[in-house]
Amino acid sequence: MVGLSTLASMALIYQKSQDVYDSALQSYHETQIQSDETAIRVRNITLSGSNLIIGLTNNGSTNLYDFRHFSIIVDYTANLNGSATSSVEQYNYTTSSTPSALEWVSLGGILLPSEFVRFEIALPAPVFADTNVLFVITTNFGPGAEWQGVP
Amino acid sequence: MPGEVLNEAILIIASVVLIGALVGSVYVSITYIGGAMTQSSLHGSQKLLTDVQIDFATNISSTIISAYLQNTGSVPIQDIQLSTVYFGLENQQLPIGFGGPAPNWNTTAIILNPGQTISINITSSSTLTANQFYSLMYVTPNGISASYTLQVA
Repeated sequence: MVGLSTLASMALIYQKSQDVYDSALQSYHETQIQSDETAIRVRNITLSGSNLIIGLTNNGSTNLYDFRHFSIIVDYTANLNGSATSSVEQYNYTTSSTPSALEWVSLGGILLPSEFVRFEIALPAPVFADTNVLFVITTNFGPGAEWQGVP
Repeated sequence: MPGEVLNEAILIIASVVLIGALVGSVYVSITYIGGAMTQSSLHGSQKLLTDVQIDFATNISSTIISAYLQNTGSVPIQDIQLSTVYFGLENQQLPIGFGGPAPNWNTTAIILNPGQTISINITSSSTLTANQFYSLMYVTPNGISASYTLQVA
């Protein structure tokens, strides 16, 4: 009797632990699949005043809309009253149509597979003439893209 | 006759005590084993759901590297300061401490939520050599790591 009860208890505990692990494994697989199926590409970068306009395409098969969890970093040479100053900053997503300095906004809503969208990034100061800009973007799923050049 | 009853009573009491002790020890064992199994399962689950990547890193001065760390997993990374950071010339990285004298690493964040990106600064004890490749590795408190190699400008 004691032996049977012990076995039953152990089986219940094992099943409960396994359920927790299986649930995590399922979530892990889903995240991995989403990450594998995500790809974006920077098509072009232009300047609009002191803002950067980034053209992006969704080359994957996931819907990209969780912009709050995107990471955008710009490494460039700023023109601060005529002097060249290095600037490396992370930019925060905003839904405002006129982003403040260190903010960015999507000019075309969400980014569905095969679609093209422009992001506007408000730099804290204009880009120093004829200098390189390094732009880094990563999606909420992990994969991202980089672009380097003179906009 | 009274002697037999007494013996029988003693045997019954002894049996009850023995069964009680057996059940008690089995219960304690099951509790311990069950607790360990649950903990192991939770720990494994947390590791599966933890993921992190270094989005970008660059030197912002001759001794400081700025790196951007993103939580690409599904669970928050708690107690960031308990993480381990390795830094140095490529293939020569050494663990560096949080805060304190250089070399060290620092961040103002305490927790890194899913999707969130934070910056960490690494201060080298010596001047970084231009054009050399440096590597950094970040390891979460539960052992998930991300690496990045950069060329110092």
